[in-house]
Amino acid sequence: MSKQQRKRGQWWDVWGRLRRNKVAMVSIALLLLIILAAIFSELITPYGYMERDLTNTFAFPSLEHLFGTDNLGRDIFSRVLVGGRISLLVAFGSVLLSAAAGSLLGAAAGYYGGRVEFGIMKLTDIMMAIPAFLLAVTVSAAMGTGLMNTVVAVGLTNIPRFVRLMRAETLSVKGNEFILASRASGGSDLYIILKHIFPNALSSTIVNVTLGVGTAILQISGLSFVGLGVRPPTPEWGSMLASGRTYMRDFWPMVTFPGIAIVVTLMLFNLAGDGLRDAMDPRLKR
Amino acid sequence: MVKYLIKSVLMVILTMLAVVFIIFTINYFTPGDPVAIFFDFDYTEAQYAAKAAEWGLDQPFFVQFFNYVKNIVTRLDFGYSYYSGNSILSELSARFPVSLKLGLISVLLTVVIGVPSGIISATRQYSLLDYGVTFVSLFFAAVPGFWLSMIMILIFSSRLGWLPSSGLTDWTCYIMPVIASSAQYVASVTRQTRSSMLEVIRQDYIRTARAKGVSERAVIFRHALRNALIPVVTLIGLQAGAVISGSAIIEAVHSFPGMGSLMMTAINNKDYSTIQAVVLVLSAVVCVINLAVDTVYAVIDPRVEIR
Repeated sequence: MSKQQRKRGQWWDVWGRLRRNKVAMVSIALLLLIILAAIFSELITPYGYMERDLTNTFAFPSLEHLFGTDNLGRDIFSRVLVGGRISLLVAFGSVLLSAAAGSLLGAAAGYYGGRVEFGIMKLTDIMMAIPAFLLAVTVSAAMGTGLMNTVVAVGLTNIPRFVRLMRAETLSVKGNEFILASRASGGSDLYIILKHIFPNALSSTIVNVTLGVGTAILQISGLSFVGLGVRPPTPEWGSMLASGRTYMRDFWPMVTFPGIAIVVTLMLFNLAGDGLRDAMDPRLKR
Repeated sequence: MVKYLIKSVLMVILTMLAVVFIIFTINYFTPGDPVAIFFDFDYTEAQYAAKAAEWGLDQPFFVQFFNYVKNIVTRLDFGYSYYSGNSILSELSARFPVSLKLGLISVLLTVVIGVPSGIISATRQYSLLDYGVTFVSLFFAAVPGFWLSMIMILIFSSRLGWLPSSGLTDWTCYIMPVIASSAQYVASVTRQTRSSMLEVIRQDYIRTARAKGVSERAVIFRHALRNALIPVVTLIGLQAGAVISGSAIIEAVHSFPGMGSLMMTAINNKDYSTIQAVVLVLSAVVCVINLAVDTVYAVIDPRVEIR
């Protein structure tokens, strides 16, 4: 049997198990819907997200404005949708950054062992000693606000979980004969890591990325809420909550709807992550 | 055991030193001249030189770092606020106990509520109760603490007027911040306890125990729980940091006079030296909690010590 066939077989199994898990399938479908809605948000929003209407501020939810309007008369529904694009974009960006950096470091640690491993793992331990959110606050305060800086600040703090994962995965396959064979036939270290070690860790990395995006959304909204991260007028769920806080006593929609958006998205990411984990690693399930 | 403890304490000290170095370095290279900001860019050469000397900013990097660590270790002195020019220690010392209390109660709550609900849920798998607990914990695991704070203020302070929305006058002021900063983590501890309990219950030695005629109570508490708790303890250790740093934002929402609101004000004022001090103190608290968790670990899992 060729390697290609076996590989398809494995993913086919995963799909088979995933398909039977109704909760996970529904969550993944809804997540895709949310992601699509976020990507095309500017096309489907009923109003422009920056469109002010100072004659109609603080409107409570109605058929015209599903979620009401904010302090500048902007449609909250449109802003939540476009805000979702920013939140998801920054979250995915930062998780991809941490996955890439963390996986390379973790693979290097597991593959080379010795001093390299000691150095990388000690650094990881130290980073984990600083509460992730506080590290993000420090980095974000140092670099300033903005989309890219937030991606880096949040991305940095989530590197350790990928380092640990990839190191463990590398250690578990390192001794296998196909690694030795690849080295004997002249494969460079980087080639072996990318071609043989990464694919073996792919399923656990996918699970980690899914759960990581959820964590990242939380961290980003927290950062924006404290005035770092993404700043108004760019709509982002956390910063929208922060602006709503000023008026919350008299006007509940501004602090309610962006929060609901966070909760729903996060729940779906958690459910999807759990489902993927069960499907990809049947040993873990019961 | 003693040897293990000494080793762990030494590790914590080394880690803290590295943490101080990292945070200090990040702040050192943060753009913006603190002295100039302090004077609002309106100063004479002499004023500038005097302030820079007072804060020790005219020294080279490593001297500054050494002095910073020395002052913290010998006098708990975190330097001066770049914004107000006051000693950070005086600000911190009043706020530290408040935050510590909030943080510890919250961490405690994750254990006291999360572990039993996980056990109940697992022992009655597929019952209505199990579904209820699973759904509630699924929901709360996705709720950001600071949002929960605001929603609780809306309902319990603005609408119903049952609880004070901000400040710290009596113990009722702790209720909402504690719930907000622990809810998410109570939920994940519940989920973890449930799933690891379910895993353990299916093991052969549990079946053996039941076959021997051991009472269900003893099976659960003496045989299953001890093993099921190991991953839970790990999770609690990992979460302590999140609980404590999450409570920083929540404090700010409730205008709670702790270190979190101090940090929020500092962020707004670009007062980096104060942010740095708060981050370090909170990291130290987390390190100590982790040390405690490691020790608990060694007690409940004899395999740990052998390593």
